Amino acid sequence: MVVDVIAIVTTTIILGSIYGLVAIGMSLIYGILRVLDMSQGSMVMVGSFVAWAALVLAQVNPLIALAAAFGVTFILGVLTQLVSVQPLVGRASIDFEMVTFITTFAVAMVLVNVALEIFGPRQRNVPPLLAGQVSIYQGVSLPYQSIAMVCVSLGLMLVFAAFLSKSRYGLAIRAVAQDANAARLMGVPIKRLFPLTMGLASALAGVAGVFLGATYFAYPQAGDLPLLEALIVVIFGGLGSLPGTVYAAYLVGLIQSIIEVTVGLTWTLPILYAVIVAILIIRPQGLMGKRSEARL
Amino acid sequence: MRSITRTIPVDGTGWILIAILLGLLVVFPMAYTDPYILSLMTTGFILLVLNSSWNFLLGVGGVWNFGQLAIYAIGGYGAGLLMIHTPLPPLLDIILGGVFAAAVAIALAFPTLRLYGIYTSLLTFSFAEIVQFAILNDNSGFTGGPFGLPNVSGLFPTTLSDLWTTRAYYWTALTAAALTVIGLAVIVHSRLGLALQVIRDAPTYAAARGISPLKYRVIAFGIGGFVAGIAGGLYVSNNGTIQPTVMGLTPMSIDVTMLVVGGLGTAFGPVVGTALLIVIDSVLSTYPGVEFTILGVVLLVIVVFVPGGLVGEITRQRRRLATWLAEGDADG
Amino acid sequence: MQTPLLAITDLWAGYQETPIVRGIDLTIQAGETVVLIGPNGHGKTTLLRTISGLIRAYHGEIRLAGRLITGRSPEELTAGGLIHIPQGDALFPDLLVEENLLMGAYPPPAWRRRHQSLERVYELFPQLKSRAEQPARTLSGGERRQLSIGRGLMREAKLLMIDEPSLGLAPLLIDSVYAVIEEIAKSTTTVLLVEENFKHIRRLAKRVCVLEMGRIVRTGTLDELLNDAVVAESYLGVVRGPKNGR
Repeated sequence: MVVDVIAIVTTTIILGSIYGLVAIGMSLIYGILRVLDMSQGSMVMVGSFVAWAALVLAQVNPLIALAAAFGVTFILGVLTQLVSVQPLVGRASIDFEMVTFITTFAVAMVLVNVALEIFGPRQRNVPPLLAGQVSIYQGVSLPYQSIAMVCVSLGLMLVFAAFLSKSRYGLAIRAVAQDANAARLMGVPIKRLFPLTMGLASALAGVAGVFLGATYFAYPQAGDLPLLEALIVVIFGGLGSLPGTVYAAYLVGLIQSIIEVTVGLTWTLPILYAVIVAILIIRPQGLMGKRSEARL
Repeated sequence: MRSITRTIPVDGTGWILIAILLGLLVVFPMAYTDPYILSLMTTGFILLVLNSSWNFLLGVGGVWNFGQLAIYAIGGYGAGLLMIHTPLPPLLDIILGGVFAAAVAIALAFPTLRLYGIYTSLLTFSFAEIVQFAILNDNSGFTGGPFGLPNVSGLFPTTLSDLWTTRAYYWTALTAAALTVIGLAVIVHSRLGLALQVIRDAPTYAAARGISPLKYRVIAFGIGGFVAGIAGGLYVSNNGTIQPTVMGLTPMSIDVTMLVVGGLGTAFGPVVGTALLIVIDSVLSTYPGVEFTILGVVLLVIVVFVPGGLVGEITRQRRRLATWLAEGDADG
Repeated sequence: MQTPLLAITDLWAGYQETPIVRGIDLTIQAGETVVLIGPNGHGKTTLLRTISGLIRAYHGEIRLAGRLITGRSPEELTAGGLIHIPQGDALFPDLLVEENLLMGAYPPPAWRRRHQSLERVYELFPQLKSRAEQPARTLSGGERRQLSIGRGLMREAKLLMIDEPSLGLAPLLIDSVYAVIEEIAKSTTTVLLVEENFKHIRRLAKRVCVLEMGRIVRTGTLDELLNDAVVAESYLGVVRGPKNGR
């Protein structure tokens, strides 16, 4: 029993931290760009493949793998924005949110299937980033890797929060989320800000991908579950609300770990889906949302 | 009849072309008997019924409904189960399947009203995933689980030769597709369609005019659900089975591409989109990685550069031409 | 003859395919204060938005200190000293008052001087200082207007464009807002003001332009225009029939 509880707590923290990274990115993109970025999941997948390639093929050390994943997904994120979102900005007579939903989904399709062609459907084993574990209770041990992941994730989230609230650029991002035209009048270069924001969000997902890959595997469909989880987290937490997203990430992590410990992995997805349906029917604004607009 | 045909913006030449096309399609299986091609086209017609229903909800209604495939599957399973377990005539089974699918769709309609666009997509998509999961894990033998319904008897007696059976399904599907496309086009250009579009584009105005979003959404889901259910019934009788894979992410990606390429919200967009993609899919299906990469790129290109889809673009160009010609007249 | 600070030639602009500004010519010399008046919906706001780059012109030229700026983006232009304080405030509702002001100093040269600018704005609008840590959406109407104008003052302005500073405000508040605007107008800053309230125009501007149907139909001093009965009645609300209210 105690073992179960410990397992639940540790899994919650680990999963919550990882989902938090992906979900923050998604929330940020929605807040600034009003785009529900369906390519976030594939960025996670790319991150895990970069980690695999870096650690297995190039045999570099984990920090470099992490940096590489960050870099690659950052660039992909920028490109995604330029190709699938930017051309649609300001276009009248379209439902911007629906159309960008479809275009980012198309980008995900391309990324996943290119990976499928290059790497094949096999799951690749990503070697552990850190070896060894620490024993915390009778028979239950926590891999150092997991501890490191949580620390890095939390660290990134904190740095990001500080960036948003204290820096000039962070202020600009928050301003753009609230009134893009007014921000332009203040001199904020929106045309640059948009792709950079999406790049940053994708990079966070890429880092999450390194961690998820190291915990599980790297394979082309690896982004499907994280995408779904991120969507759930973001609805729970209220689209565009960053603090809400973080709380929701750990909440979803909790739910998932309880499911895993009690009924088993195969039930994770359907139960989560059922939870989504239930929430959307009972409380459509999500946990923290009251306003339908996004604020950061 | 004339009053109906007047409501759709197709002129005399348009109707003649449509009549010719239909005529050619009807005669086709008498002249050309390759079963692979015929069944491909039959599948295409069935998909066209499904896509038209989806286009109706997504494009015209503006509802982010991503669970349409589950409704389609529900109609199919419903019809199939009735065919297996009851002595009712198969055509009736299909219709009942459609009714059942419509009922489920209507139930889904209610929660979507309170939801902001994207959330609706999540709700409907999650619903579809739950349905798929439920069927996949059904070990009771009722739905056949991942293997699908066993041995559904078809619409036509087994005494018919293979060729004539194929032709029979072909013509049935063709009729259904033609009726659906034209029928939905009529609806779109009727007051109902107008109301749906007003609700989609200017909800406050619609409210001010007393157009009830609830009533129209229920009607829209009901119609869309019924048509999708019919498509499902046609599928199950044509294929003799139906499996949970018909509602996965993969077929959904293809269908969305069909709709977008053809032109979301247009009456004839699904026709063009379905036709085009059936061809692409049949050519590339052995290389799924390549196929979906291409689909993804096509989707992106069309949305960015040709947002109205092919049909939308043609309409736009025709309008520009007409305006240009009219200006010429005015000046001259 | 020195180069005018703002030179607009045959400007056409609008939304989608509907032209609202239909051939405007306007020249403003450095240091001048010019007021635009005219009926609602005839292009005053559209003109300002075209100058600041929020809207693309269909046709025509806009030159700032001789340099062609038509088609440039607002981001570029504001860094060069063209400041547009839009109608209706356009505040960042969830940012704190002080954060809104800081956004006004976004371009790097303005950012470096932000502390001094902040002090200056707080001196002009002491009420803002007392609310510095509150989100902008909690402010009253008058305070919002002060914040919007204060934000515009956080950058060095070559040309300051203000769109209807008296909109929606009670008379007392209008007075206090205009006290600040008059100070600015007296300084070397060039000001282009859109306004309907003629009591304050008199103290402010030598030159008033009447914009109707997308064109400037009359220019002159306020007194000249008042003497023209048509203008006086329709746009300035001078007696003879119902007041020119909103």
